[in-house]
Amino acid sequence: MSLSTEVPGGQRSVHSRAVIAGNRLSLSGVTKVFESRGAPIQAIGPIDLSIAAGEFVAILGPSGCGKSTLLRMAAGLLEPSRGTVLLNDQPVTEPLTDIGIMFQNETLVPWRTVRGNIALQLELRGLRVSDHAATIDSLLRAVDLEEASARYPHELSGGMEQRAALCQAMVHQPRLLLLDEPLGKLDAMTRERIRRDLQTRWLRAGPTVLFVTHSIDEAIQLSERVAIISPRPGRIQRVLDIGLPYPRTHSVRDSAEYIAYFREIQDIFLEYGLV
Amino acid sequence: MFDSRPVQRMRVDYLSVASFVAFMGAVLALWEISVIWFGVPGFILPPPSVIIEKGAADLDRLLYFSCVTGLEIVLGYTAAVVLAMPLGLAIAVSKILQRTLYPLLVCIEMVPKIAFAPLFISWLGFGLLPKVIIVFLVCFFPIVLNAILAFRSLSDELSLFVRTTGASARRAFFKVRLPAALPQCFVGFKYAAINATVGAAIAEFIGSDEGLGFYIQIVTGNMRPELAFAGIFFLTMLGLALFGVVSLAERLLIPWHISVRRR
Repeated sequence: MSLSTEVPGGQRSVHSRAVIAGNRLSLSGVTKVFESRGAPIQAIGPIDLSIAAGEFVAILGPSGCGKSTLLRMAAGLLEPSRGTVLLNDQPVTEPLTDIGIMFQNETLVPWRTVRGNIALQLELRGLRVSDHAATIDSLLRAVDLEEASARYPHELSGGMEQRAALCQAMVHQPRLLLLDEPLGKLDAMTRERIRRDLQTRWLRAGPTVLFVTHSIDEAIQLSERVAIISPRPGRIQRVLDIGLPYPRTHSVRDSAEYIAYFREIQDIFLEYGLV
Repeated sequence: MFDSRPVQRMRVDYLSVASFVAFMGAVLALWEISVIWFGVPGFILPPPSVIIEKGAADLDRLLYFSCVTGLEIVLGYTAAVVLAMPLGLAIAVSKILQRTLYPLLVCIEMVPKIAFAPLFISWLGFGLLPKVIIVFLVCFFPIVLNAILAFRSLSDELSLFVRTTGASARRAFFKVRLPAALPQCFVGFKYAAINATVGAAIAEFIGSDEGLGFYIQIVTGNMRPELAFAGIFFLTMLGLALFGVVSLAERLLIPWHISVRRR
């Protein structure tokens, strides 16, 4: 439960885990074209990406490359213009419900407290909030919001709102987590702690995670694979396997492999003149 | 239905109240003195002391007519809320209604509803019903138009979030859509509350044998402006009472909203 929980075993692979609680997600030829003043604008794609059950994959790319659009299509919230999304080999035709999603703008409602907003996820699903009280407490503790649990969103800082939204996305222990820059508004120290906690929870519960970020560091520290997206129209430029052992702590940055991965990704962005 | 924070205790700011009372006292005193000083005849502008004295003497009629006008306002306003809210919701969720009924409502909104008053009087006579209908009309449009806006303004992310939970339409409505819409609905409720008294008074001017509008018209005709002022005072009180009830409901239902917090 605590932030310092260490998962024994060092290097992990998806297949060696005892419990695979995640869902398989596969995108093939997924493309989104928006109409803008009569002219079609290709926002993203075609994207081909298969995510194994319980895998942690980062989508890394510059702002405006269509990462958020991709996430919405993966969730079945936005219909791709071309291509298909498969969940456990079944085509996704309507919004997925066994997911936790976090958008760039928090989905906290102003009339509920932090705790009430986390409970909203459960209530909307018809789950009994009292059955999940322990999970709520544990999440609140992990993101340092215990003290602020009775506060309303307008009484929170941007970073606190984002942490509350992260709890909201995870409280029902979904099999698929879609996170759109979930740590973007946090200060460096808080981000470090919450990143570690997110990793611990993922190692323990094993959901499939699709994690959108524009931070190279975050992508390497958290994910098993990093899909690097080019600027608009966003296409997968490279998928990089990150072979660093879990659990990864901040000291992973000192390792030669980390530095090599970082440089490799940076070089790709340098080609686009983004770095 | 949905949780909301406990209502903050009404804090009475005694300094503000005292300042306002003192200011109104000064205005009335200035009025009183000016009327005497400049020798304004009583049938043009009576001083406040005469208004209070004569008004008190005619209190029975004033109170009875206040009840008559108050009933028209309450019935018309309530009917407007009860009918406009579901209609607003229906238009907000239905594409077909958005293309048909919504433009019609916007067109009718441009028509001064009060212009229909003589027609309703001629169709339905001098009784209660035509007044209630006119109050209803002047209240209905601000409520329905704000309700449409309210139910359509849920943020994109929140609406997508609700869909990922697989919540039923009913549950999504009571847990998210309705509370999210209430602040904008209250804009309509308050606007309508202001309209209601105007509608009732004008409807009574046009054709009535009871009510404060009728009273003001009759006493003015009889060269009794002090009683007209007394009537206006009671009409104002009715308007304030309705607005007060709506504001209280706003405090109870959306204590979290910025319009309430800032007070």
